[in-house]
Amino acid sequence: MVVDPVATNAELARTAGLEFPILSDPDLHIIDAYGLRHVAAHDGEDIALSATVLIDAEGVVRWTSVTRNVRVRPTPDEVLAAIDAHAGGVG
Amino acid sequence: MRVALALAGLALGLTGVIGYFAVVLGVPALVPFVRNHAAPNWVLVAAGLVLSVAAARRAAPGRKAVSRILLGANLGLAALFAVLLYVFLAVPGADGPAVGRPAPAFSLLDQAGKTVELADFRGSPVVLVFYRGHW
Repeated sequence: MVVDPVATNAELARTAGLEFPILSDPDLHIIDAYGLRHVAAHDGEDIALSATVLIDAEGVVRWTSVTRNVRVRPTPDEVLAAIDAHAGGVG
Repeated sequence: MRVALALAGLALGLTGVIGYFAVVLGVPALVPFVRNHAAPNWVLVAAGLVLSVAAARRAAPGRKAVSRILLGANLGLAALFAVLLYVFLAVPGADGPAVGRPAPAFSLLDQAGKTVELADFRGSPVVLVFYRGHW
């Protein structure tokens, strides 16, 4: 999920070969609902904080990672481990 | 020789700092570990500082100036690296959604213009990743 418009996300998905859905939230309505607005972070504009949220099969939040430094994100292995530990594993 | 040692120290420091950004920008497979920890880079920076200090200490009396200037430059480089990594790139914290509570529902457009709702994924786990964007 990102503040960028659909067209930007379509171009990114094409050039980077991304196949997962990239959701556009230009008004930050959902980013706000998740408490992840970063005020005036990019040329004075509000964007999302980098974050990963794991939701289980019943729609309950089970694990979150919100960065305090833009270069630090959970690794793929950490996310997979969180899925195994908190959401019944992949598939 | 002492100047060569000091120059080697500065070169190590530069390799550590420039190498960080080269790896993060250029070698995706190495990115998660190096980007998050920068540990290999700090080892290089630290080794460079050890060489610089050794060069400054061993320089003959009256010929310490160059080694000291190079040591100062290397210390400045290490400080700049630390500020870049831990201050410049820091962002305000946030709690995010509460664990154990229902995730806020959403209905948003994906890159194909198709509406995607959280409810579409009921029955399987969802990893929702928030990006800074502006690619």
